[in-house]
This record gives sequence, C-alpha cells and structure tokens, in this order.
Amino acid sequence: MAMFQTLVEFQRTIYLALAEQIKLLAAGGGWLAFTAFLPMGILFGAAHALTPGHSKAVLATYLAGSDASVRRGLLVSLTLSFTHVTIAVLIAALSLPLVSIALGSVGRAPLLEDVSRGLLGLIGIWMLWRALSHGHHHKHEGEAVGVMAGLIPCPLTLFVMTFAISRGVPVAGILFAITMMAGVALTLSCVAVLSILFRERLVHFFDSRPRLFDAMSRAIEGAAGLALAGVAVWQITSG
Amino acid sequence: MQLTGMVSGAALLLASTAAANAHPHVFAEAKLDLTVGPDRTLKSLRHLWRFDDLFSSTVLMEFDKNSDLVLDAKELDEVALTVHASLAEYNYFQMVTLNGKDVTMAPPPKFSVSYENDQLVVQFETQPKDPLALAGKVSIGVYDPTFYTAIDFTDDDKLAVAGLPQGCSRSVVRPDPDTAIAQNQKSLTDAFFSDPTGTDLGKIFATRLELTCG
Repeated sequence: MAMFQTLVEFQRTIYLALAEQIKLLAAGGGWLAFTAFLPMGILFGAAHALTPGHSKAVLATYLAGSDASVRRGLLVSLTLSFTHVTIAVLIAALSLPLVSIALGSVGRAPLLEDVSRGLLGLIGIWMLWRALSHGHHHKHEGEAVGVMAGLIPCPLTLFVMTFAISRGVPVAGILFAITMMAGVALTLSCVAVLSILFRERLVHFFDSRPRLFDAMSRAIEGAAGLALAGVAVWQITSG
Repeated sequence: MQLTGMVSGAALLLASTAAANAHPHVFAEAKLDLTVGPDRTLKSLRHLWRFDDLFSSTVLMEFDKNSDLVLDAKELDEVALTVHASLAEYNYFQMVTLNGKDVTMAPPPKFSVSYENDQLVVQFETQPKDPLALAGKVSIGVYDPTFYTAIDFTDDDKLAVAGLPQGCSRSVVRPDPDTAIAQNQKSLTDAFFSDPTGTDLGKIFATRLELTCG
C-alpha cells in the first residue's frame, strides 16, 4: 500500500507536468522541449500499469493456464497494451460517449468492460472444455485474449487526448500515448514472463511424472478457464 | 515444498482475479472549511475540489453542447447535476466520525460548479443530519472509496476551522501508509474477507482533520 501511494504520487507529478508541457507547446513553446519530456511517458505508463487493474490478473491467469511460450506471452502483452491505449485514442478522437465522467466510476467504460470480460469468459469456458476433453489450442488465441482484455480503454490516455485536442495539438497527445503504451507494455511483459516461468517451473517439476503432469496441467488450465468465466459472470452481474 | 508453492501460487492467482482493480484516473486538489457555531455544534462542511486540467478538458468536451468551448450556465448546471447524483452513493466522499462512531451527514441540497483557469471547480456544503456537539474527538476525512479520484489536500491549511471553541484543538493527520497498515492489520484482514474488492481501504489512508475537545 505504501508502494501504491508512492506510485500515485509519481503519476500525479508526471501527469500534471504533462498538462503544463502541452500548454507550453500550444502556446508556441516548440517541439524540442516537448520531445525532451516524452520519455517520462514510458515511466508514467509503467508506473500506471503497476497499480491494481489493467487486466494483469487476466493476463497472468490466461498465460499460466495456456501453453504459450515466452515469445507468445510477450506478444499477448504487447497486443493488450496496444489495444488498451489505442481504443482510448479512438474514443477521444471520435468523441464517443463510452467513458463515464461520473465521480465514483470516473474513467470507467461500463459497456466495454462488459464486452471485454464477457468475451474472456467465453475463452475461459473454451479452456475449461479443452481441459476436460483434450481439445487443441488455437494458434492465435493468445493475441485474441490480448485484444479482448485490452478493450477496456485507458482513461488517462483518453484525458490526455481530449486535453491535447482541445489545445489544438492532437499530435502531442498521440506521441504521449505511444510512449505511455511502451511503459504499459513493459510492466505487462514482466507479468507475462513471470506467469510463464511459473508454469514452466511446474512443468519441470512434473517432468519425471508424465501422467501426473498431464492431469496437473489440465487442472491448471481448467482452473484458469474457470477463473476467467467466473470473472465474466461477476463483472456482468455486478455491473 | 514446490507443491505448496504451486498451490499457493494458484490460490493467489485466483484471488487476484477477484481483487480490487481501482486506481486513480483523476486528480483533484481539495479544500475543506468547517464552521462551528457559538453553541459548540458543527454547523457545516464546505467542500471545494479543483480537478486537473486533463480531466477538466474532458468534462468540457462532454458537456459543451453548443460546441463553443465554453461551459455556459446551463451546461455547468448539467455538470453539477451529474456530479451531485454520482456522489450520493459514496456519501459525497466524506468520512465523519465522533469518538470513532460514524456520523450521518445530510445530503447537500445543491452543487455549484465553475470552470476557472481551465479547471473544473466543484463546491458543495453539507451538515450533520442531527446536531453534532463537539465533545471528545471529531474526525473528518475526504476520500474517494473507489480510488478512481485521488483527492489531495496540498497543505494543512487547506483544512480550516472557523469558530473553533475554547478548549478544542485542531490537528491534521496524514497517515503514514506502513503505520496505518500495521495499526489496522486486523480490521484490514476482516475487511478483505468480507469485501475482497476492498472499497473501504482508502479510509485509513485518507488525510483527516481532527478536532479534540476536552
């Protein structure tokens, strides 16, 4: 929790400094100063993705239960980060009324949350079924999970974008969104690699006990599927 | 050994999927003005929240129906109604206790919203539902239980008291997170198991104003 507060403080500082940078740029301050500030976006995105949420649990659950390699795991986290930020840029650019500005749920996108968790629930059921029936993995399932989990837009990107648009410097918003995306991807990639290493250690442990391993890996896949399906039900019924 | 690690890892994974997903999206600087009446009762809490430029610009875009990039009186009224309605279920982000017991606050009759220097400013005033005589310790905190809004009192003077009676003292408490966790370990554990989404954790970390009367 102490870390949580430090992260919040850190984000507040960069976020408010960004607002100043966009104002300066809009007032004719030049791109040099703004570009110099941009790398802060990576730190900001990485710190932001460390705070609770951001589909980290979904990512970890899926990767621990699937048979994805580290390479594919990284691809899933990149897809997730890309979708999470890009959808926010689109919502801002098209002024779509999908994000709540009511306090208490500010920045949330109820409809997209339901869609995202509902789709992941289907993946969960699919994993569960596969665990019970020795079914086969679909090749691009990981990327699909990344897109589904990322469907929930990044509200901070949205706010940065509307601010930049209202100041007449939309490009500044997009540039910051890109650096922020890199930061989010950094954190999510760590989560992905850790989940996969966790699973691979397990696999290693069961190497000499193939029958137990088969039962175990299916149990984990089934549990992960159940968790995803459970979250979907919880999300949709509590919304 | 490895097996226990695995089982606890799996359990953690399952638990984390149900855990809180809240984190700040919006930053606000707050000011709180208390008024104490001559009869030593707490008269009112005046709240002022100034939102960050980025969120403010989104509110402007959303409510600027005639697209003139200015929120006129009618558009500001709409913002006020939205904010007012959305806070009702969160007790207007207030936490008021008298000697540790929750004090019920009456809902504010209205919100006033303005747009100054590109920042959305929200003001409202609340009163205790029943007269609240200052005796013992009154504690007042302002925080968003959902964590989506980070409310910050930049310095202790932002929590002010008018008409503080003789024999009462005022102090501002900014809980140190580690100490707060240590002191609240049991209630935190209970809170977690009764509500894993943990919406009330913010309570123990919120900056509070404490009035202590002998």
